[in-house]
Amino acid sequence: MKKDTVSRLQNRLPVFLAAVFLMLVLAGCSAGSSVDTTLVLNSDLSGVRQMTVTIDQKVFEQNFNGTVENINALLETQCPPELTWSYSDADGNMRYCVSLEFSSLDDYRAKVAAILGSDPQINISVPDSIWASGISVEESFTSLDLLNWMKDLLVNNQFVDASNAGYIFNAGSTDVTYQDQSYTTGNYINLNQMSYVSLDAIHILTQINEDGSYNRKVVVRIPGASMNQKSEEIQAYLNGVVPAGAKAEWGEDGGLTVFTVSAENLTAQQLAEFDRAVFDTEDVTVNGADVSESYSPFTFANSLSESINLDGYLSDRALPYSYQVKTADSYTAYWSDDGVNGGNAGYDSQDFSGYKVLREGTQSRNNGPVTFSVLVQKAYGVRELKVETERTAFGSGWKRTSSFVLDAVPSEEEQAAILERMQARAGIEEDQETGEDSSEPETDSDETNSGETGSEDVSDPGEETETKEESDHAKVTVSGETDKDGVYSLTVVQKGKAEELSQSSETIFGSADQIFYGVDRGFAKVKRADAFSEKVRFGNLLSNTTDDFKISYTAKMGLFSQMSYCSVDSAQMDGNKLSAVFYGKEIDIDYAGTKLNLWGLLFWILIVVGIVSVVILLVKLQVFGKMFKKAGGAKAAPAAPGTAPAAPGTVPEASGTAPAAPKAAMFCEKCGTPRVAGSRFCEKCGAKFEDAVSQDGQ
Amino acid sequence: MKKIWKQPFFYIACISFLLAICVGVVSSVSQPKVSVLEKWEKGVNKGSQKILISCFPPEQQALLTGMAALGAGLEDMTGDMGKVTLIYSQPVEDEDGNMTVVVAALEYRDGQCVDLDVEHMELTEVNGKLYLSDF
Repeated sequence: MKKDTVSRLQNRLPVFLAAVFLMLVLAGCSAGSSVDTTLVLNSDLSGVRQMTVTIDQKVFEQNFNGTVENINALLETQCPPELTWSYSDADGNMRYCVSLEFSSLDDYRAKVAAILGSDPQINISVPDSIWASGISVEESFTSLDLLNWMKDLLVNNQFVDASNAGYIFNAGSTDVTYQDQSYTTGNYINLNQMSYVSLDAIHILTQINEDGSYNRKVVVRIPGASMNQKSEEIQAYLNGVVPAGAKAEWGEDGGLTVFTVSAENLTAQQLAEFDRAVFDTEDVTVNGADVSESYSPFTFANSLSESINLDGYLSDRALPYSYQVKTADSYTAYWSDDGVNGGNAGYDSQDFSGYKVLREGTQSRNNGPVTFSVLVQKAYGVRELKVETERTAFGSGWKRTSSFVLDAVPSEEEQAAILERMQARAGIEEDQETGEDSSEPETDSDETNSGETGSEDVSDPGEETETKEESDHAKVTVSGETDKDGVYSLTVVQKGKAEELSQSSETIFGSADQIFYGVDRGFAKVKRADAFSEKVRFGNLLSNTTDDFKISYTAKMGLFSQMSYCSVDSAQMDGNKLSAVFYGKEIDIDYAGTKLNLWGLLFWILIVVGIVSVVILLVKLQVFGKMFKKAGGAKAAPAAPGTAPAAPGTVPEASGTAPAAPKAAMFCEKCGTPRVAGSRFCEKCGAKFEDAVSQDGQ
Repeated sequence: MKKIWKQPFFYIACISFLLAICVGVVSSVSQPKVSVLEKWEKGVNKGSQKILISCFPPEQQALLTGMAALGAGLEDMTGDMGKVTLIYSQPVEDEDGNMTVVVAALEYRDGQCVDLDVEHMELTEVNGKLYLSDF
């Protein structure tokens, strides 16, 4: 029995020893290969990550199924495109050198992400300023993660048994090399070799001048500890960032060293160059623009937006900063997120007289640039708006005069700008004829289509006629004037039909108006009911008004108008003028009343004249006389002797005689003068009475 | 009769009456009445739903008549209102062929105007007659 056991053991011993040996090789003092990593960085954050895979020849021969050629052929086709590889066996060991080259930090991130199949965390900072210098690198992956694809290749192609997959690679050393200095780190690179000199705060001061130029001041506050640490370097550095033409000065303030660099009357481009020099970075953008067009013609506005990368001044902690603005008199600065609409007006700076703090905060390294957006505005307030509406002759159109009275007199340049902007709104071309008097510049826009004028109805002058015309535009005139009391007003005159005025208002005031006038349709009425309605909004022209702003409104009604209803309680009639005051920013008035209808009056006058003429005619023709005679004769017959003598002009009836002689006319046929009894000729005109002749028989 | 021709007042009378007729004709022609609106005014003042319904196109009248029977007609047009006078512009046809007219409705109570409402109304033409477009 014992012999059998011993012989069985002896037979299995080589296998056992081989297995033990294999275990020792694979799981013992080293794996299948060792991976050493060197990350080489340049100052522009380009570089290369070299991963050297060293395989012991004997381990390879014993544990790798296949040849080097097999593996190389596989790598040739299967290596990720982000990597390059090479093979050498010069010193008896097999070496694969796998490299990942990158041109920038973003490129590095992208390539690693492509290999890993997920976004890695890679933070690399190599500042070289007085405030921060050195290197810091932090990664969330190792070289073994980057070589997983190779392990999978070997296993999938059965060069290594799957059970041994975990032993193929073993992490070796990891180094980071920067500027000829090498730093050893762990497999997960986490290197911090930074030195910092911190600042107390940076204040960026901007003065916006009336001519649109900028004065810039950058104030750097440095703690005493930092000055003690690197006084000479700090002074040399800051003195070195002062651009040509700028002023620099050093001071002390409560234990802090204060460095101020300033320049004046800069354009936007010069301001950008100043910022690039002082903040020691190319990552600066400055944009200045005149955005007055976005506002009413009475407002002047400029926007300034800046983007400044403060990394050149940042250390290991967040740096407090402020952005402060000072403007010319009568201008106001606002923080503006979009460069057009003003927001927060900031608060008075306690450190810098005349400045307003519009933005303050802290900035840390590698957070990108800080952005500032400022809107500077000067707005003239509208104190009063005088509006006069009237219907033009023959009632076919309207004329509206709107005068905007400002609370102050703009300068000549501003007046010209206001006029130009309003003309642009009204669509008045620049090459139109302009007034010669500079204090009362005036241009006309005659855009009325003079072709088809439609049917001009000869109707009541007070009536509105609706005539459709093609391509109709209102005639618009814009003028500005400063009166003898030193009050400036801008006047807009619109002439045209109701629809034309509405279109014109939409262009100039921003919203279409409504204007209506109508009269009762009874032509024969001497007094007709009429109705008038006007609704006008003035848009952003009234965006800035004084506290005592009002709209003084008048509208001319027809002749002998009488108001019977008005939607505005304070409305009054003064002659034929309707007047009202509005304290809001729009006109909304409805009027009902009566007016003299000239055509109706004329109609009735003509009728009366006609009737009177008929009556006179009838009298002249003695129609009434004959009628009276007939009536008188029927009563008096038969007449008795001794009756009273006939009245003058009458022929007495001869009683009992037959046949009766024809009766004489009582009035002269020609002039109608009463006839004297027995007379043969008219006493007035001398006409011969024919009946007197016939009666006499002569 | 002979004597009439010799009378100047004859001619004065004729001319006056002729001119009066001309004034009347011209005034009427230049500002013709819009019959549907006159009818509407009449219907409102009389409180007659029948008249008001006749202001709408024939194809809508049956529906409106039915609604009126159910008490869902134009009662708000014939409610407690004073005398209403309509003053309106001439209908205007736009480029889309829609006809609109601006109407001011004046409400009188005890001879005084107490309210004024200005509206744009759409008209539609059916067989050469104008009707109100919608209700």
